[in-house]
Amino acid sequence: MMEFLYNGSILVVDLESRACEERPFPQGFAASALGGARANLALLREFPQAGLALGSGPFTGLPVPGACLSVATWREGGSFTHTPLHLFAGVELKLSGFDFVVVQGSSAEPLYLWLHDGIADLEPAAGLPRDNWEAVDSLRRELGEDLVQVLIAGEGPCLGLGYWASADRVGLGRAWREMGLRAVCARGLGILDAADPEGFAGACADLVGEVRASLPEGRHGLEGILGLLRGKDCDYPLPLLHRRRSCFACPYDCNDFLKTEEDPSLMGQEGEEEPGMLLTDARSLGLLEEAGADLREGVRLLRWASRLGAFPAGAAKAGTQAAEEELLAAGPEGWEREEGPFSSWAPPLPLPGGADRKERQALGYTLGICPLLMMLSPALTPQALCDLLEKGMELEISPEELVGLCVEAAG
Amino acid sequence: MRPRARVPLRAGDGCVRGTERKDEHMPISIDPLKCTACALCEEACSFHRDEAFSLLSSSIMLYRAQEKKDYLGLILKLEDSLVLGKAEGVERAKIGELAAKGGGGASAKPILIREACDGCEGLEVPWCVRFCPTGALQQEVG
Repeated sequence: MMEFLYNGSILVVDLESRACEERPFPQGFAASALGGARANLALLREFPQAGLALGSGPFTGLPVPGACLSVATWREGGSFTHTPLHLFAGVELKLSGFDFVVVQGSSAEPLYLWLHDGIADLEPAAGLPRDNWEAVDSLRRELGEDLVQVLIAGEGPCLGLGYWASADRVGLGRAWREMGLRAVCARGLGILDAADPEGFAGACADLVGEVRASLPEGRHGLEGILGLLRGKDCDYPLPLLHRRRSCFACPYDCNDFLKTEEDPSLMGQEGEEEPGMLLTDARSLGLLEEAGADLREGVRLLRWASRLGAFPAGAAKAGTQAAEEELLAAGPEGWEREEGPFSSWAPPLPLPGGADRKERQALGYTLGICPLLMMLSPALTPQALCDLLEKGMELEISPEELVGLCVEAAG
Repeated sequence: MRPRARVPLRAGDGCVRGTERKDEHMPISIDPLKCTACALCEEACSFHRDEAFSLLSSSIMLYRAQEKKDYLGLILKLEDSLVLGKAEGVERAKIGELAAKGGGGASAKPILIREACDGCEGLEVPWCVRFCPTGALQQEVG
């Protein structure tokens, strides 16, 4: 049976027996579990021995504004945490052919999981370099593709999104290493179908325009986020700014590439091989600025943290003079706010119209939309999302029901 | 997973396929420095091609292979040429020239086997222009 907006496939990985088993969605799974955090919870309850689920949302990988997200749900004791996987990692996971990946067991020998074109392989990872950047380069060479997305567990506690920092605030990197899982690599050229393709595409295009128009005027990059938080402009990163990048399908360009090793205005392919760092984490940049850190030294510190797998905000708090051991021991330093099971990566932005932060997070984490964009744009209304679910997967659901189902994932 | 066609690159795909028409109309203009690499244009174009969504079949492709350098751009396939929306400026290359020179890397090769941009013939505004959130893509009239 064709699944709309999904591949219709769940992968169950057992690290101990090194077995990968693909299962089709159970009847009605997409309609009841929806996706992302909510579906991950359902799967982890079905597989009580499993500690990790990676799950996409119904909109992940589709041209819905901000639909870059897959979610890593981690079980620790009786509780669960959800970490958003943004940039292009969440999309490639889905386009690899697997909507959900459940991981159980552990391996004494480090392994990596390679997902591509509906095929899953577990491969030895013992030979990978300790440094995360070198390990990513090595994996991409081995797999023959420079667009392979790599979730990498390094020396430190924080999971890496390729070269850059993830939204991990719970120490997924350390947890994966303890399971014997060094990396998950994904590359996919899958095709996703909508129930009403023309209607879905048109509604997506209209919503992109509405979201763009709803974003705070004149705000860009991480400095725009920090500016919104403080109610005044933030120019701190601008002297080293090369370009700003969006995650997949996002109208807001919240990632700043800062060049520390060459003139940031150089646009060509020549020059340094590793001229700088893509900053994906507003908290770490804000902490550096508050500490009065030299920007260039601060970005170099964050690059080092990323290579080690240290928490970026923890590294920023440790300071530019910190030794390696201090970076590895640094805590996540999330925003000082109760987040429940969701990562405290998304800043506590003032929400337009008195929207509920928990609801916005829950919608994003379940449907596959970046929680930061959910905070930024009031145009992503439950009604608009219900309309897309109807056109995309023939799911008739009211905005109240949708919010209620998503909030269940918040516990 | 819906099966996808595996189309191998043939020897001819790496070679010049004829003479570039100097007056070849470019239905879309590219301002590369406005691009933030969201890939909505790729998704939109794939819908125009397949009535489905992927990063496989579009006539426009995001070049994002040199991640550590933050070097990115857009490649648009026309009938006889490629439009390279590079950060240094927009260039035209004959079909095959990019691969023959070793430019673009492995990631640029798939564009050679895709269909050429038709400007979404019959539509008032091409899908990629409609989706582009930054104005990096604009419709060329005439």
